[in-house]
Amino acid sequence: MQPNGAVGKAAIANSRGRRYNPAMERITLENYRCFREEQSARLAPLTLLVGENSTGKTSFLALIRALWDTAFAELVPDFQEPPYNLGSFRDIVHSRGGRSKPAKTFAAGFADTDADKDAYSFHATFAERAANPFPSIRRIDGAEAWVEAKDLGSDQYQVKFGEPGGKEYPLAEVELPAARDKAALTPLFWLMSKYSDGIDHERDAGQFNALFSKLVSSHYGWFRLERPFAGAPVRSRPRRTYDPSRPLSDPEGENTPTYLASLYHRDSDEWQILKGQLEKFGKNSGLFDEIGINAFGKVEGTPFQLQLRKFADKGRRKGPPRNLIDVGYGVSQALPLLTALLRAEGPELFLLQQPEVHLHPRAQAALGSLFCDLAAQGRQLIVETHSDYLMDRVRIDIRDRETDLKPEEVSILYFEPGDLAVQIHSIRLDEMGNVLDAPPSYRQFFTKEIRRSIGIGR
Amino acid sequence: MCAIVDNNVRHQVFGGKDVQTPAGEFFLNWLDNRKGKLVVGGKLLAELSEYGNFSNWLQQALQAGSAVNIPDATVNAETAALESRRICKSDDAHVLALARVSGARLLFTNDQALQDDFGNRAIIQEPRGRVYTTRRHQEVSRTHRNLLNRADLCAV
Repeated sequence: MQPNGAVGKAAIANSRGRRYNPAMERITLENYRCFREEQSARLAPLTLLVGENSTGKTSFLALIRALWDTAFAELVPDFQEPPYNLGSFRDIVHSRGGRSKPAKTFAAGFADTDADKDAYSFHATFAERAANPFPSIRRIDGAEAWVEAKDLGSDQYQVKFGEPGGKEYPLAEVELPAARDKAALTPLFWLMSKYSDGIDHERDAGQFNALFSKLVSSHYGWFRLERPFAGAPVRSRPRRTYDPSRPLSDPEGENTPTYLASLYHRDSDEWQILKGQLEKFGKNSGLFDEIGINAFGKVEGTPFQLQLRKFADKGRRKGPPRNLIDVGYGVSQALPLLTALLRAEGPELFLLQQPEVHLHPRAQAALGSLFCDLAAQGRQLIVETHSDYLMDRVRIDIRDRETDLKPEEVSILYFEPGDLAVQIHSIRLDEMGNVLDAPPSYRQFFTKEIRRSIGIGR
Repeated sequence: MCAIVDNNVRHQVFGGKDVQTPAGEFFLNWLDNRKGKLVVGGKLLAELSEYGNFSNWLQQALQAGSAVNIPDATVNAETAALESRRICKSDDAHVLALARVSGARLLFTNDQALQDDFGNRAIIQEPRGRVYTTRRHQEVSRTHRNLLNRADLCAV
C-alpha cells in the first residue's frame, strides 16, 4: 500500500461537461463552539451561511478549514490562524456555562461522493493537548472499507480498519517515526501500511490491498487541490503607491496589489484575462470600468500604483484614471476577494466572510451572480453573508436561468439561535427560486420589518 | 400548508391598519409566523401585484420561504385547459388553475361563485378545497382558527 503511488481523482468532466472536483457535501459537528448536539449541514457548490450575529457562522467556516488541514494537509489544525481566532481548546469546545462542565472532546467531519459516486467521509474527534485542540481520533470511511487511528500519546497510535458492517481487522499498535514535525500528523495510510507490511500471507495481502486501494484513491484525490482560501471580513487598507513585496496569500488581501503588478510584468496574457474578468465584474457592479497598473519601471519589483477608471456615455467617454486610494472604499475592499476568486490558478474551495461589506446594493447583487457563475464552473464557495441583495440575486438568477448553476447546487444554511446552543437548518431552492424547508424563525425579523414599513397590522 | 388569496380580499390581508380585517391579519400571521405558504403565479400574481403593499410583502416573503411562485406558463396552460372544459361557475379559472398546479387547497375569497367552484370536486379534489372567508365574520372565528390548523391544505 503506497499512498503516494495511488492514483488521485484526475480532473474529469462530469455528465454536464464541468470539471469534476472533490467537494464537501455534508459537514457534521458536535460539542463545537455554540453547537451542542450532533448535527449535520448540507454543503453545495454554493453554500450561503445566514443568521444573526454570534450564531457560529464564522466558527463553521473555521471548522471546515480545520477539517481540511487535518485530513489532507495532515497537520494539527491551528484554530487561531487568521482570519479566524477561536482561542484555545476551552474556548472552542462547547460549554453550557453555570455548573455544567465543558465537554471533554468535540467532533466534526465531512462527507463527499467520489468520482464514481461512492460515499467517502472523514471524521475527527478533537481532545485537549497543551491547551489546544488535537485530533485524537481520525477516521476515513469509504464504500468498501474504513480506517481509524487513535492517538494513544507517547508516539503510539492504535489503528483499526475493516469493511463496513463486516470484518474488522485485528488492532495494531504502531509506533511513530522518531523525528517528525510537531505540527504534522502521521498520515493514516502510512499507519495502515505498517500493518499491511506485516501481512505475510499472500492471499490476505491481496484482499487487503483490493479493499483499501479505492479508499486511498478517494482520499488522495483531494491532494492535488490547494488549501482553501479563507477570506477575512475586513480587507487591508489601500495605499497610494505600493512597494512590491512577496505576493503571499493573505486573508485580508495585503498581497493583492503586488500579485496584480507581478502578473502584469511577467505574464501579459494571464494579466489580460484577469483584467478582463475584473472589469466585467466592475461593470456589472458599477464599481469601475477599467483597471490598470501604473508601474514606475519596466521590471517586476518596481513601485507601482493601482488605477481605476469609470466610463460615461455608454463607454464613449473615458474618465481620468484614479488611484485606488481615491475611489470609494468598497473597491479596495472588494478587489482582494475578486482577485482571489478570478485568478486562473487557485484553490477550489473558498471560505468567505461577509464579502459584501462596504459595497453598494448593486455590487452586492453582482457578487451573487459572480458566485453562481464560479460555482457553476466547478468551484465550491461557502459564504457567510448578511446581504439580502446577494441572497436575492442568487435566487433570481436560478429562477431566470441566468446561471448554469442548478437549484440543487445551492444550499442555504440558517443558523438559528436557541437555548444556549445553535441549530443549523439546511434550506433549499427550487427551479423557480422558491425557498423550501425554511423554519418559521427564518427571516421573521425581515417580514416583521416589512409589515411595519408598509403599515400592515395593528 | 399552501393557500391562495383572491384579489377581492387582498386589502384585508395586506392592507394598512384602516382596511385590514382581524381575520385577514390572522391569515397574514399564519403566513409569516407559522407554517402557511402563499402560492402565487399567472394572472392572479399580476392582479395582486398592482397592490403596492402586496408587492413589498411578497419580495420579503419569497426570500423567507412563506410565498411560492409557480411559473406563469404552467398556470396559464392549466387555465386554458380548465376554461375549455366549461365547468366553472366563476370567471376565475386562473385562480382554480393555480390551486390545481400548486396543490394549494385553501382559498381566501369572498366571491361566492369562486367558493362554489373551489368546493366542486370535479375541479378541486384530493384533498378537497377549503375556503377561508370573511363574508359573515370579519373577526377571527373558530372556523378561521380550525381552517388554519388543518394538516390537509396541500395536495403534495
